[in-house]
Amino acid sequence: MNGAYWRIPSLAAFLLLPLLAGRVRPNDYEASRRDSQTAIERRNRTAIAAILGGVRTSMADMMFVKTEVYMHNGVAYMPHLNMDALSQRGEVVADDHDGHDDHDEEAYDPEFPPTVIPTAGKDFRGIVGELERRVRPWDDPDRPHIHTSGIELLPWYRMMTISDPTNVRAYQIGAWWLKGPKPEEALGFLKEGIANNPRAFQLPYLAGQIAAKLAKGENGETDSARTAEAWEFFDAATALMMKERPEGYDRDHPENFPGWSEYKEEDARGAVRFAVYFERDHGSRDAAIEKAVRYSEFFGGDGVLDRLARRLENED
Amino acid sequence: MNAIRLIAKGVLIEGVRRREIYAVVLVSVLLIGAVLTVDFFDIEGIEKFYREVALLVMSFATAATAVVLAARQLPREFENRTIYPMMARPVSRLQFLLGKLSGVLLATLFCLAIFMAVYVAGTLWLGHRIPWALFGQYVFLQLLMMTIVATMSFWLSMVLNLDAAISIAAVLYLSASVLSSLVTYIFPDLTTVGRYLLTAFVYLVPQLQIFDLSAKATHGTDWPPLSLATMAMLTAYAAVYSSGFVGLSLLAFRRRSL
Repeated sequence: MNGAYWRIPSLAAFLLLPLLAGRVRPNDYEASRRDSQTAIERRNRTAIAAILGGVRTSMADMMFVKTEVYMHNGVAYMPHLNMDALSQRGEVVADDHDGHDDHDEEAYDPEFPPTVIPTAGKDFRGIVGELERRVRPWDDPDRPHIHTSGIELLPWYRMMTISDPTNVRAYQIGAWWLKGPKPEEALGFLKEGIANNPRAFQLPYLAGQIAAKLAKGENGETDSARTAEAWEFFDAATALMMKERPEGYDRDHPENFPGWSEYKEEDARGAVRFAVYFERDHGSRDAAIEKAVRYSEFFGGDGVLDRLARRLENED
Repeated sequence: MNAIRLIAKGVLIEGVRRREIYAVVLVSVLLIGAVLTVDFFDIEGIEKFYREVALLVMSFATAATAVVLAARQLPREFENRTIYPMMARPVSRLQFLLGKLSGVLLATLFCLAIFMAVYVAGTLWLGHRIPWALFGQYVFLQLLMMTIVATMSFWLSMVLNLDAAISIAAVLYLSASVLSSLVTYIFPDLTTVGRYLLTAFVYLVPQLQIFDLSAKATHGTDWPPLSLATMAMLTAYAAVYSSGFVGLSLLAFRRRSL
């Protein structure tokens, strides 16, 4: 092949490099597996996630499996816990069936998911299966699950965030477990998460709640520095959320908005409500009313904010 | 019997003197130590994490020691031609194999004993409780598992080259848990022929995950020790497969011309 044929496009590409480089934004980089939480969880609900368990390539994915196993005292069930509820409210609840990859569709009950090691009736391996059920942590899936404390999971969340600092969910759930016994450490953990994920509004929202709690002293006194800190967190969360929330989000048709979820919507509304309450308690009534009205309009109407605005307007 | 003992002693002394075991132990302990240096918010009640990480690293390291020691015994004897003077003595091939195997198992036990001493000392130092009965069963089952792994490596080293033998034994060890879950999951979707093949796989290939008590040892406070009947069944299972691999190794060894 004559060299001139490839030299011309190569030269053109070289000359175009400054133009292309101008469009590069290094801070916008997201690792290939850091897609939305919804996508991560859909991937993790597949049977292969349960089968591969701890040898998954991504430590972030391992967190999901570890959480399920630790919360059930070592028993490996098919992944079924609702990670949104865990990260948002610290609740250990079963998820619905959406996105599960099960063989036994009709028998699936989110409260009684199947175990990774099958029951004797469904296990073709005979004595091998029986021995595995005796040696490995196993429980009859028809019996109610016993959920243990999430404190034991904290080192795993710490390891997850070390290995993948963009794992917002790990910061959220870790801070949830931590804020009870160690609120200062939980706040520090969230600050690290905010520094690593400056666009995730959920982190300053949770940090604001913890800072607000810390601002109230044991004897009823208020820590003004903490109050200011909480205020900053709520303002930051609100501003970030307003940038991220898709315009015209329709709660009746969330499937039309793939980057957003009902849990994010609840977090978003929670963030602005906290901001308004905080303004009411530590700022001015008029500013609180103005914020309540403005945020309600942003959401296309919010019953809680509307009621709050009316109540504040009627106050003396 | 004396010949077996002497050969085993030679393998053990070599294993202990070559310092590879110490290197494996040192690297593993450093790895565990590195994990422990991470700041976990100075919080109480996270001993499950320490137990899991320590047992995982120690199990892998012990298995790696067993595989490498076992797989290289016979090929090296042939390569260095040291097998010829040995076979000129009144030592049968079975005695030679059993001696080598016993030496490898003793060296593996030595490695496991160091690990367990480190584990017990570390756990007590951290002020955590050890479920002794479950822990004792864990150590015993590890030994049974290592016996199967070592005999399998012996046989693989007789029919494959050294690298392939080590690789296959390591893959079988590392993938035991995954394969176990995989076969139960895909079984309902297979044709009749596929189901027969999978059943054959389950019974022909040793299912090492049934010796892995580490998960219960990790979450130990809530799990009772295994019953004697279960321990006896596991011992019998290990004896059957280990004997099978020794038999296959002997068969391959006898077919080698000296």
